[in-house]
Amino acid sequence: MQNLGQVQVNKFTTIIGIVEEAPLKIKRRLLELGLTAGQKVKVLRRSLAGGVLLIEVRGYALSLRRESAKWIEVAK
Amino acid sequence: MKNIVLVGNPNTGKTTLFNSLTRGHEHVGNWHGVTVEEKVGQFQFENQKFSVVDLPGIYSLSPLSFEEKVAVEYLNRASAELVVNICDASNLGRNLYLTLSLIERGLNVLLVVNQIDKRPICKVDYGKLERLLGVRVVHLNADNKKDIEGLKGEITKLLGAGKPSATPPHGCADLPADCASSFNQAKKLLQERGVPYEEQAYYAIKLLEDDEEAKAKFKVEMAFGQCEKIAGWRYDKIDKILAQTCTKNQRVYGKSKLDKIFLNRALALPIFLGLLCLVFYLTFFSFGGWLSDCLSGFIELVFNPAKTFIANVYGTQSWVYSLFADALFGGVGAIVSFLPQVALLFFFLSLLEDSGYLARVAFVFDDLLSRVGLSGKGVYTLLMGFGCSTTAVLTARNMEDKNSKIKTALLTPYMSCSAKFPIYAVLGGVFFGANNLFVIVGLYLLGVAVAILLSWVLEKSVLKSKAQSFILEFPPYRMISPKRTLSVLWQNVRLFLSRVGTLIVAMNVVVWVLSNFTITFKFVGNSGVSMLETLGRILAPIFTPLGFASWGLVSALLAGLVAKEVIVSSVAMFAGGQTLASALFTAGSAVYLGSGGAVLSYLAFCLLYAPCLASVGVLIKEIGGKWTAIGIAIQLAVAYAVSFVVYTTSLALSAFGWWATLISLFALAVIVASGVLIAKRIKGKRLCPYSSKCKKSCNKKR
Repeated sequence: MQNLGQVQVNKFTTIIGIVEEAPLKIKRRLLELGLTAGQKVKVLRRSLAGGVLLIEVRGYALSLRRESAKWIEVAK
Repeated sequence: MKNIVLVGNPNTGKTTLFNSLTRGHEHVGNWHGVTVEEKVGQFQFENQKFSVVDLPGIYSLSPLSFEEKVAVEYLNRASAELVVNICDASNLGRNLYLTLSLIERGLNVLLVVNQIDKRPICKVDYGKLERLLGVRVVHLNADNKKDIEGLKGEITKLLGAGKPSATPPHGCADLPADCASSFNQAKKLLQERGVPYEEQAYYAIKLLEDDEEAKAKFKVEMAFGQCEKIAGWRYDKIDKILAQTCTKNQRVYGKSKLDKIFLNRALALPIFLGLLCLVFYLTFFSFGGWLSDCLSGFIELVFNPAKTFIANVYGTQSWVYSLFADALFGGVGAIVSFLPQVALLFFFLSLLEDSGYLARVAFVFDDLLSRVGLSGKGVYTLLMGFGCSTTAVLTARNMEDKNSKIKTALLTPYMSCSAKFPIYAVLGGVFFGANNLFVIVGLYLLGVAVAILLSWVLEKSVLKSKAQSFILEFPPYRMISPKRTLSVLWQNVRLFLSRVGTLIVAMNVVVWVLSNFTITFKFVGNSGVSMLETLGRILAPIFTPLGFASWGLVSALLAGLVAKEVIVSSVAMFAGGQTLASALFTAGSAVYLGSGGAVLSYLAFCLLYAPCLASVGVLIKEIGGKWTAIGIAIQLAVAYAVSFVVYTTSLALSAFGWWATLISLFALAVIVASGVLIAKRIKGKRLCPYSSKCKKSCNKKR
């Protein structure tokens, strides 16, 4: 199992899904923003302390906390 | 009159379109969540009147933050005849998700594709898009006058045709097979609860997504757990539509090479601090200072002959002369000369906002702010606080949970607002001269430091926040147009002048009356004690430990509760015939400060002591009376403590010299730190056996 928070910078990977344990509100927001199963994502950069990620999904740039990214399961 | 509502994702140009349609001047910026409340405007086209409502940006009809709630609640409550859904042409895929939700809701939708950037990422076949979506599509640039006229025509035509059929064009007939049975089940549940047929499909989908509000509204307890499938279904539809209508190039919306510099691990912080210093330097000193000097020269040129004229007619001892010379020319003149600086500050803030740089600042600071229970998004509120706390407090609605919102709102008044700057410039300038630059920068930093510390204390005690998600879309970097520059400058000049012309003049006259008439309403002149002096003398002993106990300074603080600008104008007024420089250092004068330590202490107190009346009003509206009262109490306590420390330190410095003071301060810090550590240990030991959420560090002590 690998989540988006663990992915190397600048490598494309595919989303498997949002895990069951994710809080519903966050889960819905991630889905609305296009982080749906089968989508390709790439981590563009991390913040200095690593708490925030900048990712590329569906052709746009989105930042989110690693705490939220850990709910997103991705392919190894 | 027909009602139209503007809906769309954050930062797609809703407010720009709103301003274009209604010729309004609502605040816009290249940031998510500039608009945090519904704004109403009107326009006329071919003798028909239309009312337009601008809503905060939303991603879907399930809100997460407070400003999104405002928008969704409005859509659920009000019946707009037409929903104008704005999409950004460069990020069409993500934007269409909301469009589909609106269509499912059965709303009368007009899709406006706004082309903000000259080189769009997508090339769209709009005719085909219209056919596939089944709603009218208009594509335009929200800043272009001709496009707007076209849109108005389109709106008139659509509203003239009446409401389309109740069955939404996309319906929910194409739901995937594994959702269909749950969908029918949900629909049945809704039918049993008497939900009208037109709304069943929409709410059934909401139930499949486990929407908390829909569940509560219809008292449904069952969890369907299908939000992933529903989102997948909508995006599949979007992908199919885009595959047929849109040719994309390789560019990524919001990704920029500039980020290599601005988000560089080593450079990001120094660049931000450097930019901030540059802004302050340009605004308050070099360019802004020069403009301000020019203006005050001009004001004297106008006011001096007027003063001489009044003196000739009424004599310098009359109350008429005192009213004009002290209250109006002296007091108001002292503030008007800061017009260029205030306008410049707001201009630079809008530059930060419009360029798209602010989202990067939020990204950089989220690490730090998450530790004190805030979100990177709070950077926006706090930076706006440098302009005006009253408007900044509203933007705390960007937060997702209540405690973070209260905290962000409470911290905003610690950001030194533009109305406080004249106090530092006038009082500090008299004593510190050219070194005043460091004093001012120090005061701004002091405000920020106190705010962060306080946030940490609140987070650990009464306002523990739930984890914020900090899900923030990155806007592309954009150039600010000359037209927008002028409009920002003009708006702020206008606001400033109207504020000075009404509230500040009125306050100055009130302060003048109170300080020039005795309790029996006799003109004070050179002898006698005014009402304000009596009050000031009663309160003065409280401030003796802080180094400023003259009645003028104390009553200026009281007047400053209404508006901070009044502090400077009151001090200038109380100086009377003397120049400020001599009045501040003449023992026995109404505004005697005496030493540099006392000046610093007074400035720190002005920075921290309480929000102005307008801010208090907004705070009560946003976070309630209880928290506003607590916030003000904290501010007064913090201001008193900080000023006390500043003044005592300055006394110690002058009495014992640098080294002894430093050593004793260090000793004090050690004592306080060890006290805190001991308290923590005792508390940790006591809490540990009960707490199931015990952290690692706590385990060690067990």
